[in-house]
Amino acid sequence: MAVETGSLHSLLQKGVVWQAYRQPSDKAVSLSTGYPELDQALPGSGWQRGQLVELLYRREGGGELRLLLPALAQLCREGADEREPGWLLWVDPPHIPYAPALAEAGVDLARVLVVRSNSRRDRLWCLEQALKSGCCSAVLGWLPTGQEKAIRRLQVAAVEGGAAGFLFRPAGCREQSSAAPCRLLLQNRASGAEVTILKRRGGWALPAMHLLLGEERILPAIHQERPELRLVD
Amino acid sequence: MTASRASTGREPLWLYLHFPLLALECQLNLSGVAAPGAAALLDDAGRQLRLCNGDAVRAGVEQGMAPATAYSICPELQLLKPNPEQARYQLESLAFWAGNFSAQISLYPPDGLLLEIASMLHYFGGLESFRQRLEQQQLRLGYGACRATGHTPQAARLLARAGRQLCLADKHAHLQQLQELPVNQLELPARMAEQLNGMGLQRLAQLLQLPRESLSNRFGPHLLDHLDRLVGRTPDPQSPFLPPPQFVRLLEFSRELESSQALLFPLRPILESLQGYLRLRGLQAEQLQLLLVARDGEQQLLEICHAGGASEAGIWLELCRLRFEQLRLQQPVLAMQLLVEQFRELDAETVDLFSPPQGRERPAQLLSRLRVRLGEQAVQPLALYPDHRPEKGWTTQGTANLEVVAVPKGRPAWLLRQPERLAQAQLERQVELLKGPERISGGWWDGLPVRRDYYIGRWSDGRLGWLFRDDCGDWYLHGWYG
Repeated sequence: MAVETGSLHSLLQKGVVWQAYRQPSDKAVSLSTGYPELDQALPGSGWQRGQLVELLYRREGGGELRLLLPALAQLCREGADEREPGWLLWVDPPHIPYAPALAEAGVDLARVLVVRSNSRRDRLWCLEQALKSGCCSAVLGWLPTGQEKAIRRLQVAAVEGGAAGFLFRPAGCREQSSAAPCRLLLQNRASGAEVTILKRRGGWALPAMHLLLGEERILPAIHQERPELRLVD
Repeated sequence: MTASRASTGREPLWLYLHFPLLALECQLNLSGVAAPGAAALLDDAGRQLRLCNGDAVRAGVEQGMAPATAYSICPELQLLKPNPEQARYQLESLAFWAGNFSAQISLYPPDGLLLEIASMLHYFGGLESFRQRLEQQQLRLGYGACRATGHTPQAARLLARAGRQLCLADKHAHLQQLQELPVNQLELPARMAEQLNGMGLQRLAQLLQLPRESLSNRFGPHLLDHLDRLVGRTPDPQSPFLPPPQFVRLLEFSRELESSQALLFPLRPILESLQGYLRLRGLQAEQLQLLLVARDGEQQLLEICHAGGASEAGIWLELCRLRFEQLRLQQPVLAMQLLVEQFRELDAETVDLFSPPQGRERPAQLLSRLRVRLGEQAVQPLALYPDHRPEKGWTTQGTANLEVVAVPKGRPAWLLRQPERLAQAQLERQVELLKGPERISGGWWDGLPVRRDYYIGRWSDGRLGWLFRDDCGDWYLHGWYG
């Protein structure tokens, strides 16, 4: 990479500054999240291919995958007719991605690859290779705090390869700067979760929105009872 | 001949590659050093220098010198003994390499290759771009070559051996060049060339002006035949080089290679040969077997695979580089053998018509690269498996078919590697059970029976977990609704 000169150009390249006229609108680039409320808040009405999305969350189990599964399923539907559809690559997930749940959500398991690397160096290498290869529909990675430089590289790779890149990171990264053009914070509530868009292209941060994230399907009984309870109140 | 030419609408065109220093360079290239310095090859008796490389010539060493004289001029000169077998072996490697440029190749031992190129120009987009591609690849090859085109095999050969770097398409242009050739470069028997010179015939042009009968009477029919084939009056069929069913190349280094990265340097030309070999046969390689022979004779076999098959040297070099990064050599390496015997048919559709645009890799290729660097087991597919026990309900074998497996509903997206014991107190304090029980039992058939009651619970921080109570009443966490 060239030496950073601090010029506007390099700031633009780093993704620190965005330009309003670059508001993404291309349908082919945009990928619906499956949550209309969220789509509305995101530039281009959804996740953007060729961009990194950072998902900050506290601990597994709060809906961090449910937030993504509709988009992964959408990618699988799109690629179904392709001769050589791209991978959905999971790099060092914290637990076993459970095949029955993915299949139920509509993810084509034949396109899923799970990578277990031995070191952080290999993990970053693998993420970078996958993002820039151009043959991954989505790349999912788990990265700890810090990593500012690495994320900038990954963003460059994502732009090059056109894959949708999702980085799962601890909520503690919230105050750290990041080259990812889209950053979301997931916070659990008594039911569902609150999603805050910390950073988005072509717009300011927004107030948190409450999403059930598919909980209504996992726990139908509870979510059907709610209106009745209100009636009683 | 004329008729057949008219029917294909194509003038025949040949290219001859003359490797004047092959016998010397094949030994130097095995030293595994990029710049070996001044070197010369002795003749069979060891009394004179037969070949000198560029560095030696620049130092003032000349062909025909006695070794002692050469040493006095250039003390650091490397003198090598001829090894005709090795040169012949190398010529074969070069013939494989030439498969990148022609579908019909003939060997002209000890130091030449003849390529039919008229039928290839179409694929390369014309003679000029053909020449550029050839030149580029030749630079990386490590062998100096004189190359010349010709409208007949012999024309190309004689022009190349005379040191003319020609790249012409036209028959008349070739004839013109040929006529300039001195009689002693026509590869006639030495006595005949002398006789012709004695008659005042210096160039081919003069020879061709003589009446055919008198030439035949004086020098016999062979001369006339030779000249006819040269100018194209009679056909000159060539025996094509046929690639063997396996690709095997052995390199015995002239010095020990200590680091695995140093192996890449000699490997590159072999992979380019492999690429040519695969082109000749219309195949792709699926697996390379690299055998490294260490100083103490111990052998190490590296298997490098490409999931979808590949032929390009660049791809294989990248895979080898990744593999070598993981490799620790216990002993210096003396020899390396590359064996390729697993091929797949070149799927013309995949490669040509639907090949992804520049910058987009094929999915199989990425998989191969990740596996080579991280290990075969580190990259795994995911599939369903027909078993009620949650920990057995998935597999990395990728063999199970989705259609035969009923997908259990309402499962969590994360499964813990091991169920995690939950203390009763923790459970009461932190977890609110929202759904359950769901009885899951099975496994009596393979000695790992389970009988569990599964619940979905909400932790006090709002997360959803999948937990169960076993036969003994103990609670375990088994997954998270991530």
